[in-house]
Amino acid sequence: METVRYARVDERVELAHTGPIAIDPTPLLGTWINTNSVTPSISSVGITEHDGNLSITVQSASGPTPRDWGSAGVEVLYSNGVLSTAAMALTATYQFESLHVHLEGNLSLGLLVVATFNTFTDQSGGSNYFGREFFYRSKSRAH
Amino acid sequence: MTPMTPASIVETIDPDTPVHAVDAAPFIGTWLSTNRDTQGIAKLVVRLDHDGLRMCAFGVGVSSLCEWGEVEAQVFADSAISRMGHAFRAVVDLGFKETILQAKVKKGVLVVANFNRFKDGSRRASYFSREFFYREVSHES
Repeated sequence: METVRYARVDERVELAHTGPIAIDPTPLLGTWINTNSVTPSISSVGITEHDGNLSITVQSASGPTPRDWGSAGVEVLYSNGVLSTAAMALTATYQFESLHVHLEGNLSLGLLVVATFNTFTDQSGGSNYFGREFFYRSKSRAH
Repeated sequence: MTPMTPASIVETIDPDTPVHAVDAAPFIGTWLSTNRDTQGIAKLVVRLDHDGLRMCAFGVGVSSLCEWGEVEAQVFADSAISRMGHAFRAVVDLGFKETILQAKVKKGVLVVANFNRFKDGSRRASYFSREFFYREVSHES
């Protein structure tokens, strides 16, 4: 039986090299500020690399001061094509006391677009909800 | 230490509110790529059954469409106090690769971001793409 190796024709490529494609995270690195300065949700995102490991930090803007979600490891780094080395997107997960958050971010027109899929893990009655916000890169270094 | 749930979320929830399913109606139907020459996902079929929202993607193959198989999709509202479906998310595991699909309807267009990770050691890079779909109009009387 033939093994399916692609599920869409743009994945059907011939690879000339022998090693795995290393995706360069540089386009994603830095501090990203919400384009909406009065957002009640995520105000900034930091993406850093240390010893080849990528991590993300999130600051939530609710209340008078930012609230720190803490640091989470980037689970997967994505390029913009099966033969591309330029980072285009990432995924991360946060598990809070009563909320599970899938965070999925991608670059678009120089902005970082961050989608959050928020699932309650308690019986609070709240709907699981989706958020999508836009961030520009800060000129200062990542925190 | 387990981080606290962000206060902005906890404050918006009434604990006496009963849990109801988020309305998935905005997503139900057959969706076709707006790009007739797409090399990616050509069609999505989204339906509701007693277990919730189900979704099946069809990729463009060499000579025909490649069905990815039906999977469960999780529906999300636009806030913790809303019951209106705003987006859905599904994970398709095809063995050789895993794809996360996130979709939302914007101005009648289903916008689907997909995050593809190969698991077969083929040396292809994990990649992201975003595609657009319009709802197929049924001509049945």
